[in-house]
Amino acid sequence: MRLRPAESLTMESVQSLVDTVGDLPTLPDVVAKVNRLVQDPRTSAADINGVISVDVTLSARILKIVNSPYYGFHRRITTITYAVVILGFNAVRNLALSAFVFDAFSRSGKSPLNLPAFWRHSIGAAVAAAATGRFVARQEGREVDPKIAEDAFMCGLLHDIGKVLMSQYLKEDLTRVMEEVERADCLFLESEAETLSYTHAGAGAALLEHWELPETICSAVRTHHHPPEGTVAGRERLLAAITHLSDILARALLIGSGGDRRMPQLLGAYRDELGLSWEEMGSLMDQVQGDMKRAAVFFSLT
Amino acid sequence: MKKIAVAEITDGLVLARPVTDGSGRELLARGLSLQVQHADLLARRGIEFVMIEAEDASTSGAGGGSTEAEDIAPVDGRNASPVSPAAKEALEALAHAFEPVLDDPDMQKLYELACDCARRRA
Repeated sequence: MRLRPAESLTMESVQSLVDTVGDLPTLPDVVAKVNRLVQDPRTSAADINGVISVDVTLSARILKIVNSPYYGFHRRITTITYAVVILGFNAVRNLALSAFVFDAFSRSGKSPLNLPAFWRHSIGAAVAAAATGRFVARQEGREVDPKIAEDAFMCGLLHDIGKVLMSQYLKEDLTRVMEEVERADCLFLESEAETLSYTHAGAGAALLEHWELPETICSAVRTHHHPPEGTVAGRERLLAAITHLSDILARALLIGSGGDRRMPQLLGAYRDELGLSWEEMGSLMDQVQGDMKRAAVFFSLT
Repeated sequence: MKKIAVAEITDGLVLARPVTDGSGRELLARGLSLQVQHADLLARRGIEFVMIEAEDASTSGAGGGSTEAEDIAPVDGRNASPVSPAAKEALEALAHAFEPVLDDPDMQKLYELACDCARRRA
């Protein structure tokens, strides 16, 4: 695929690129169907099973993840229906999506990014986001659905998907950004602000919109470095804050690499949104370190 | 080994003793290759001097022949536990990552938590 030079690409043209380029990764039919079904309140666990079970490889990958130490179920989960009942609809959609993302993006040939380190960072952020979601849901006086942890995991995993999109389809842009990161020893986001007219966060969100993922997930990916402007629904704002923190926690715990060696600023607006004391932040970091020891199954998928 | 003021730090000087804060937490590990930016970082933490490796044997000898026990003692005199190579590498990576944002009290706190985690992990 030939792409225009980077300087002619704007955020709008990235959106257009994502919408129109033929060989851009599209969700496999099975995952797209599951995504649509999960957003329909009339869908049953049997409906999800009926779609996923047709794809034997995907079913096996989902069950492998569900039965891993990360989830820690004592009894073996042997069917997708059971997985939906135990974990919930969104969680199984997210597992199907995770399996696809690893399959489609983790072995994308030569890249200016260190891809194994990149995926370690993404998995670290996913684990950190899920832990933060559970932590926030347990806070006294806070009415947060504990299932926010499921979407938080997805947001963490996909927060930098725009960098992989660049790696595969905008390689010249990515090369320039990485060269500036090396030269100036700066953040990836600082380098892209100097070099490009779009951001990896915006490009990633555009891809997720192309996949018709829920707006809360797209928005969290779009705004993980900058709080959204204007009035935003509580859950959407909270997911964005969790995603922002998950990136920082993965870096603070030195889990993989997002493409640079610097630490982004923890934004006050997002820290206020999460309402974590420093003592709680320390406990959360310990929790993430513990969860990472049980997350080997995700590395086996990359 | 010799003692220098943090204002004298130049790129490439090697820490001969770990630098700790007032509560004994290690901020910079022994063996770290210093950069000029560390001077600001340390000054902000109220640290005035660091111990660096002597540039050559003659300078080292001028110190009166420090013992190994002295070598591993942190600058403020507390006994430091030996730093594993993995912990040292992690602490160096964290010092580098956080260096531009340590003016911010929140980032300084996060840095301390991250260093604690790195030591426990090692």
